[in-house]
Amino acid sequence: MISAKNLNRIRKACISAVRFIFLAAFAYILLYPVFYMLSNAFRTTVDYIDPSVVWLPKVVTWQNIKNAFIALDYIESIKNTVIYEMISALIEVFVCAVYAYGLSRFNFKFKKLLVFVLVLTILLPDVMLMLPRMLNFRRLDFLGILGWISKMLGREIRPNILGTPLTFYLPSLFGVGLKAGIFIFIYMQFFSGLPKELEEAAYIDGAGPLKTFLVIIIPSAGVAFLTVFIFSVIWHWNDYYLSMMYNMDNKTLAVMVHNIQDQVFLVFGEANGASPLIFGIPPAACLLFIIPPVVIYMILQRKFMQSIDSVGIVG
Amino acid sequence: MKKKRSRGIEAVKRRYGIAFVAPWIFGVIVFVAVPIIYTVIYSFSVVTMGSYGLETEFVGFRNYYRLLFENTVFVDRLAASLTSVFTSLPIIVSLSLIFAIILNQNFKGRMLMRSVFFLPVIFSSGVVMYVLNGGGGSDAATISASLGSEAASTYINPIDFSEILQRLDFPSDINDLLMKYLNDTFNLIWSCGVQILLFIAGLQTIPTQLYEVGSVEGATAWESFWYVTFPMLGRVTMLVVFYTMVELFVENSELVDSVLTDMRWNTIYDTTSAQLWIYFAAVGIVMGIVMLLYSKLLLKRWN
Repeated sequence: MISAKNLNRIRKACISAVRFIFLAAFAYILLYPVFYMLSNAFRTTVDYIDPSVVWLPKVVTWQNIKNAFIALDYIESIKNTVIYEMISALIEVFVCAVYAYGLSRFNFKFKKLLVFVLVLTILLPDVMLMLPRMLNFRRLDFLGILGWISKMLGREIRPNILGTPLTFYLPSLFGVGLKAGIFIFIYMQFFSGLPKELEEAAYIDGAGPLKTFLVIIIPSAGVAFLTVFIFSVIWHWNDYYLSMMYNMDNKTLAVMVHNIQDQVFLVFGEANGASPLIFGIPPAACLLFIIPPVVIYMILQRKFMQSIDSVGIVG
Repeated sequence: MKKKRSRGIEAVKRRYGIAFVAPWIFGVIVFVAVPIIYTVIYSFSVVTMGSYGLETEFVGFRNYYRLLFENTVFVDRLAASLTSVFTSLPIIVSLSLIFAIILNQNFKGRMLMRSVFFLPVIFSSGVVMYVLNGGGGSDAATISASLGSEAASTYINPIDFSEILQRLDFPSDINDLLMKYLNDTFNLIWSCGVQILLFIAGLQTIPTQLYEVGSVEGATAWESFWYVTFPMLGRVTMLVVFYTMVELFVENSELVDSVLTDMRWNTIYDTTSAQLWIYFAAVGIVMGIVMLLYSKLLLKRWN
């Protein structure tokens, strides 16, 4: 006879077996591109043609990585990504917290309307705004004021900021940059969950709202900051639409990887036998592209998962 | 005395609240509202590149009329984009919910699995998948054709269903349909990254007491899922549905991609603006309907 205790144990074992199979199957699918990259990035040209080589290359070579490094102009591209994208990612992390604080912890007229507008900006695709923004950046103006002054002065004072990092910093600074709406929303969810006593105590101690925000709220919002930081950095790292539109000359890493085949031809030329290079360089380039965000994620991962557990970015 | 002071604080707080959000309001006006007005103007005009920049000539609804009634390609694309959401959305939402529930359980290697399921977020822009699938240049197609290279045509697919299906010997149209569905499902796992995180966060907010009450009253696992987990996730699910639709409609849309290329490389601004407006009007209607159905049918029943 099987006792109830054993039955329970068997049931548990079955559940975890099913769970294991299910997760393993899907993990395989998700990890497949990573395996593919790793497997293909270190092969020699002979191994691509050899049908007996499925996953493990017979000879491990660093040549593809070296070539991809050159084709991507890796150091220069990373520099561009940092200057254009990462700085604006960090700007968003801090600035969105300020706006979210204003929207979630104070009561004023039209607040509901503003929250509605916020949701609209999340909904509205960047594509829609790209072109008029680009034209605006060519002759930077705020609501036509600078244009009006130009007319008065009789000379053009509207600067052309297209191609400069300002095209990324300005929208980020005003909280309308890449995915900024989502970040403001995440912060709002977090701030509105904080107890009211936190601020009241600070007010009674004589701190103004700004000081309260800097000294009380920011230190207690570490988890929200972490969540937004990870998403902001990763989304900016991956962004290639914006840098294609606003920034033609100083190509970021994402743009370079996206155009890797052109890049291979540009750098190595057809005469030097580009066709075998076409096998090895793209996976190697992808590997070089995902390593930095993966490393950042690995460092922050434990804290990040705990933060997802404890705050709940959904409220 | 006390009352007066608190009112003072309230007034100061109100002013500070506006001060906190003022730059954002400015940004929305300059970088969102004004550009939107411009695209509306473009969509009603013929835009030409003049010596002083863009010159617009008002033509009324002509761009819209041509797109809707004379351009068959556009209408087909529009319909395809809109209907594809109805097959993808339920799959994405239910898959993410299943994964979130599993990943929320306690088991060995849980942290590792969560990291694996974060991979789609790291790959989010699709640059990596695009390159691995053989893309990688403005004229990658011609390059691969001229080289006849295999690399450019290989498709990254962990499981080759066509081979399995061929052995099963179905009629060819059922075969194609199954093939499409299977491939879609597997590609859609890549769209589940953020949704899984949202669901996990939502699951964490459900108080454990509710489950305890359930188990005391002798509820089965299924009952506690159906009567506790599911209703408690109502708001999160709404958020997930919303987010997924935005992603599907905007980020993975062929139509948006083609519009973007026209704008960037072919410098066509008038009809592209009209295309975007038609598309987003249609998207708005579809999303409105879905959200309405969701809140009417599901939320009401739970409440």
